[in-house]
Amino acid sequence: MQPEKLVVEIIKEQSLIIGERLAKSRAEETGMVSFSSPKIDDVVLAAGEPSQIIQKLVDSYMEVFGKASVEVCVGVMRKHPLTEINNLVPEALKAGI
Amino acid sequence: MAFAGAEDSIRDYFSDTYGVVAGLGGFLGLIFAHKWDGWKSYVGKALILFSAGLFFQFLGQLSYTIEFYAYGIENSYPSFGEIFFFSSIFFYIFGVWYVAKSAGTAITLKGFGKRLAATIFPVLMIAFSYFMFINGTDFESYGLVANILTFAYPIGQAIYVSLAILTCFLAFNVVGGTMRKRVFFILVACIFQYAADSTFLYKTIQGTWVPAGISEYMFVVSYFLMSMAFIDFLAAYEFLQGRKK
Repeated sequence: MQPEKLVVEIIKEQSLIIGERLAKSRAEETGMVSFSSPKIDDVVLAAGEPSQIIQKLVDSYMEVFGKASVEVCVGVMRKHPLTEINNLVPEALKAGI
Repeated sequence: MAFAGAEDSIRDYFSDTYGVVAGLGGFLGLIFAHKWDGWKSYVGKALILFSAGLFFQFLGQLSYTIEFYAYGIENSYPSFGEIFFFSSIFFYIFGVWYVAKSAGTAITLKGFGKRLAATIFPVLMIAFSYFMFINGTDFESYGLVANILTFAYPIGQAIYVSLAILTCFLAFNVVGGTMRKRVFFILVACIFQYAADSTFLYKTIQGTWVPAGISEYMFVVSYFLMSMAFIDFLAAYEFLQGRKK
């Protein structure tokens, strides 16, 4: 699975809770995620380990609703077989999936 | 004002004007909800619903004031204003619902015991409200609408406050971050509104309600708390949006 796809899914799920503007802004705040257009789908990831990018993304959302926000991200990951996203999931979150 | 006589007109002026706090708070809340993408997000929905509830409290107060000054009708019940007061209960119920969804209560609401407790608690609150405010009412002395409202007000209020208390318990170990204290603040404002509503009902049933009495002071405080909760949500948004690492 492409890391971009998982990142988009996480941002979209967070948008349902905190709104698209803040969800995108929190993603950009990681310094690893940007958007080439106003659409969430047009996400651009910085060079680097995908699992680290996703960890930073999860940490950024954690600042909003704490553990509740992390669980939302984990919920998105649970929709996929672990074998498919194994290289994308941060080590700290693997136990929860 | 606390020392004013029961018939002093200053009490009436207070009764006629304190609803402005709810009007202003509701108006601001609707504007702030837009920041959270309005109806497109759970937080935005919660703010819109709470703001509408607060604004409808203002419209309810305004209706009574207009009835008094334009038509000379004083404290008629039920009156046009009940449409707004009663509607505000629904807004609060769904407002709490969306705060609960935002705060991740679905995560903690797992297991038969917790689900059973989450079902039983509102039922207990409704039963408590029934025995406090409905039981013993002489229904034959009132019309159909008044009798329906005699049931509907305490039960509706019991639903929103039980949901608010449940959300506090369920969210306690899961909600954190910048929004933690904001979530509890808006829920406490909601619980305080219930305390004001219940005091008003109790005083009315006892026949001891007076303009500018304790229940109206409590309403002012609850409107103020809810308005401050909206401002706090705006502050949280600005903080999260603008924070740079």
